[in-house]
Amino acid sequence: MPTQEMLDVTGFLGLSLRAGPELGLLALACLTFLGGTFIRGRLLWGLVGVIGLGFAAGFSAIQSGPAFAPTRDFFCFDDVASCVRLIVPILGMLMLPILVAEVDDVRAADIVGCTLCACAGVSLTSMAGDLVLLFLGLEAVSIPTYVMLYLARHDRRGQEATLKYFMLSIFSSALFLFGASYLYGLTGQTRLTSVSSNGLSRGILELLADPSSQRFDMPRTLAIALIFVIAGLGMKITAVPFHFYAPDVYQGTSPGMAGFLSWFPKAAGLIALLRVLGLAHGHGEPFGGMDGTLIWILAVVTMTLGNCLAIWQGNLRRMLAYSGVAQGGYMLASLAVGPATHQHAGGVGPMLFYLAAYGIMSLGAFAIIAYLNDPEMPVEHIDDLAGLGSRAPIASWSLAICLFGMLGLPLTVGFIAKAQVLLATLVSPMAAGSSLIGILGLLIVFNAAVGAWYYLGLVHRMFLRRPLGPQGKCGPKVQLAAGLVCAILTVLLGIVPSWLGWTQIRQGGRVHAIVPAVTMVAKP
Amino acid sequence: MPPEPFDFSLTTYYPIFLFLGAVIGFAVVSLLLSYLINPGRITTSVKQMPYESGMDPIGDARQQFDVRFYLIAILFLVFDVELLFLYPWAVATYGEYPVVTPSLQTVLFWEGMIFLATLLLAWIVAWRKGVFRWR
Repeated sequence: MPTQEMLDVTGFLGLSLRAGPELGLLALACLTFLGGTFIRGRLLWGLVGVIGLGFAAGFSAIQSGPAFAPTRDFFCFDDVASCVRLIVPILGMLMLPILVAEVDDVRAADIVGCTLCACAGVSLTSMAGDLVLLFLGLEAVSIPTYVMLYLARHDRRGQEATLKYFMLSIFSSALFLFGASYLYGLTGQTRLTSVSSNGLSRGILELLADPSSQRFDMPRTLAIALIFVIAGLGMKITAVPFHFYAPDVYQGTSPGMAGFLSWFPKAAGLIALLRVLGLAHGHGEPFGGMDGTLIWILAVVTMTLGNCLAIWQGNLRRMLAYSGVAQGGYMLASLAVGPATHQHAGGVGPMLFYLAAYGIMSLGAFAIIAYLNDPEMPVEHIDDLAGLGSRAPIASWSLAICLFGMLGLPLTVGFIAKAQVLLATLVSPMAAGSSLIGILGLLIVFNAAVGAWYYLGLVHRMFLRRPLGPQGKCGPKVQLAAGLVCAILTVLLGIVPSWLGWTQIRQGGRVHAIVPAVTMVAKP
Repeated sequence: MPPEPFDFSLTTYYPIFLFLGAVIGFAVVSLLLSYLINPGRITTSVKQMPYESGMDPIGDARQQFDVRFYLIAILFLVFDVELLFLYPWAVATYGEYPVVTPSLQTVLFWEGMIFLATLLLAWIVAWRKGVFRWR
């Protein structure tokens, strides 16, 4: 085995250094768990977590610079990884204050440690070049989430939400592993993509794309494998047939924790899908040699049903849960376009941009709801927000901006994200081959219009209605601050999207490449 | 030597399907047989009793016991699995025919140490949280 001989002490240290931000976060999480049993305090551990995530973001930014060559091995250090590894710690830094403000001093260290683990997990998933590492990354997100769900809220409702999430999450892990075992059985490999350039050792994606290595019943077995993998990851993405737990869990848990659930597991699932289907790699056959119809169907059903069901929700967190389902659908739609090739831009860059944009907007919305949530008088129903505009103007404007962003109004980052996804569907060469992708673009526009109904409904309640009854006190100011930062970012990145990275090179009237250029910030 | 893809086909698994068929068939046949040849529904209080290998059942089937035992079971599992993992680790690294090159042995040694250190950490956290205290 050539790879094993190449890996000696120096090689190992080099790899550890490159995965430094993630390993560092995990080590810091361990120290936080340990330290929390000696010293208690929300402020201390919150600061430790934020500083740790800041360092992780800094190291990730340095690593996406030109001094570090992209590699694809057990760890994949490519554009996708360097993009996600920068987004995740930054969103983690916004997430931590919201979560820490919801727990007491005794539980603060635990929830900080769990958040650090989950951030490291999403990062690890993004750079996984191997099924084993991919699964480890996914579990590093899931397992802390179970603990966090209990830490954030432990009354009867909270316990129900925790148990529901726990059962369905381990079920989805089992589905994913079942599919992964078929992939291993088909190829005898856990490595996703080729290790050496001479073609001697090939990963799963290369083997599946090679017609000479196919057996007579392989396409059928491959279909089973992919269906199980997509089902397992679909639960994390809350794609529609697997979304049913999300509204219950969001409703049962605390608002801040619902914000965590709306991004971190979803991001891990989407990125894992990117890796398994081979969309992150510019070469090789995407979708393991099959076409993207399955993802197409998933995307259409997810965004349509998510949006239509969100309209009927009375509970605020339930509504946002369905809105999150719909947003996941847009990202899946972007994935259905396929990977970037030399001819067209592909859907991966737009998806990553959308993921980052959705993270900012969603965290902002949940931060404000967490801020407004008074334990004595919780904000549960959407009518509880009535008349908020006069009572808490900063909070209500922040929430409104985040909602405008999710709706996709111009001058917000949500608009740029939706425009990119739409553009990717319209200029894709697949659009010429089949009308499916073109229809996808149409359905995205239709769904954005449906979404306006309930997003604007909330804004209407906040600014144009009188309060229905007595209203509770507002929560910790730090949650308001986090929400405000998210709202400012939503507008700022909507005006200057190149800060988040939107590099578009036009050649002959066609969009040539949309690079998720968070990397461009680091690269001079 | 590049790893060859497995010669995978479902036909090699036919003994499993045979076994599956036999198991399901046995269950169905025995249920059907007892349904067909039973002498009719005669219910007596003895027949309504839960079957406990011929003994008369005493008390309720539901027994509560202390939640602390679950904690102990989980802790046992953690350290049991840890021990289970150390054997293959030691054999693969230092066994008669180590599967790794000498330069990798150092790496694997320290990886094992890191693994043990995380467990030690977990143990200290559990101790500090009072898991070992019998309250």
